[in-house]
Amino acid sequence: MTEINTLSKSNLVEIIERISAEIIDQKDVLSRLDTEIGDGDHGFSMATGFGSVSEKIVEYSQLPIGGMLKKIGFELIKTIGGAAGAVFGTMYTGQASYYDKNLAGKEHLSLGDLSMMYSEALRQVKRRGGANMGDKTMVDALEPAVVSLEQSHLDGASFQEAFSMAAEQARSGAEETRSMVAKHGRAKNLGERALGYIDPGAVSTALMFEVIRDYLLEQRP
Amino acid sequence: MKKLINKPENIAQELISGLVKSHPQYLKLVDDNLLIRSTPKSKGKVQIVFGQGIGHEPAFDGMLGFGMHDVEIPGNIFTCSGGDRIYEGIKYAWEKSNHTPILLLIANHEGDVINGGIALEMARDEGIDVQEIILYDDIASAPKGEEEKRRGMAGIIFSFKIAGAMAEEGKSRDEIIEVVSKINSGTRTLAVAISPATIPTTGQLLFTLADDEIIVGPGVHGEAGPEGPMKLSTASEVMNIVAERVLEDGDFQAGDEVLVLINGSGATTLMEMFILYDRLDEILKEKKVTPYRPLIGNYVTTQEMAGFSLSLCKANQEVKRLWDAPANTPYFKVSGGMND
Repeated sequence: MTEINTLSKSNLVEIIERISAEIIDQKDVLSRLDTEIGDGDHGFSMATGFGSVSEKIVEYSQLPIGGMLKKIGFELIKTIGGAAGAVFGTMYTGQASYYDKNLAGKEHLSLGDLSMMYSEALRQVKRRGGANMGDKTMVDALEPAVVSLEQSHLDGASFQEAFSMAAEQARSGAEETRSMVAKHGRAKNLGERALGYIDPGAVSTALMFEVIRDYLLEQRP
Repeated sequence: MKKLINKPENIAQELISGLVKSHPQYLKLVDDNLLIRSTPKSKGKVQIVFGQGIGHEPAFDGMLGFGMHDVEIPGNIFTCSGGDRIYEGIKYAWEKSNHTPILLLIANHEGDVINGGIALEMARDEGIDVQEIILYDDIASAPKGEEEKRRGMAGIIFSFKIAGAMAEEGKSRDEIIEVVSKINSGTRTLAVAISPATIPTTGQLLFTLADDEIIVGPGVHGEAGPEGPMKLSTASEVMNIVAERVLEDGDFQAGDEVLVLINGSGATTLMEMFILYDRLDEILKEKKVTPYRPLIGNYVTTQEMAGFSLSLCKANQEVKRLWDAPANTPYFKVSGGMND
């Protein structure tokens, strides 16, 4: 395996295609998790959103990186709808806004660039949804993954190492939502009855980081 | 799942299409799936915009029209539209009304509030004059004292009706907001489910209940409430529990007049609703609370969930007058004849 030190737009496009395929593949599993503590459609709506993104990604990829990520985000907001659409869409529009402000024109993103883009996305997701760590939402998976990316960047890690760690952090963050009482989303109405159930949005987030990890590990020079 | 649908992913589009085709005198679809009145409100009157998930028919896509709202942005099943689409709805109302102030109604659900927030930011960035009211009424979802955290349930019909009537009369947006905010904070709703619904997009049951169990406090998407199931009893006993909680939470007193809604959640018969109302009327009499022109039927539904909710709201002379004001929409009509 060769170490990857930058990602290009075509890498990002392939990653988005793989994430879309994975979400569509896991549709029923995600909906079932949502039936336990929500209204049972998380997988369906996420699959609708990412299905639409994968149909349009070729068109979006004609734009610069920032414009492409922004289009992806808004398509998710529009097609997923609800709180999930807004937060998962903001995961991409947030990355786009950092890129447009600080990296415009750059075609090869370093781990430092990507970790800063994710940090901004995390900040905007938290502002948009009002959720913090421990509230039993996708933030419980996203925040540890983003913190780990920042640390990996400081440690001089490769993309593969950084995303392996981040995926691990996202997954364990998602698992930890089982012991949480929800403060947001429809699960909050359940109070302590939500204990023992994993948050489906956190699982979707973990899946995304795992897809990126697997993609990076497969890359050859 | 046993439902008469085609492809799950086409439900949203086919449902709205069928509604509009069957009611062309009331409704029309424009732009990217925006639902509007066939005959727009006269210019200069406040425009009321609403975006919510579908699957609750007739609320509120089938209740759009004269005396109610002007533009609806239908979302997906139980999932509100994305913020950029709600913004499109606001923008449409703004442009077509020659820049009349817009009132955005938002039912208090996380997705609706977040996307409403995105839409408000986008619209205000462009100089559109829009204000929102967040509607809540469900006493099961947050304790007394934290009313603004409560979910929007069937009782928000009171706010829709009063806002719509005032806009029709040419009242200013500030006046509408003042009155409707009071209606909203004075509305109390509690629901009961006796059998679950399946989500039409996934075919999954929202919850399971034994034959002799009911849930008190479920949401309009069939979300279970904070309490576990309890044993099914008679209509009167169930109404005793529900009415007692609603009356106590809303601090309804002897001498009050109240708007009343018994809302069926989809599979409950009018027969059952009238039996429930019969007991409610007795309870209200005992408490010396006077019901004013109760509304009974399936309005905000949760697919084939069986159950109902009770909503009450204090009504003074002005509220009663506005409740009686004419409305003419496909599935919600008040004729002028209601005044006797």
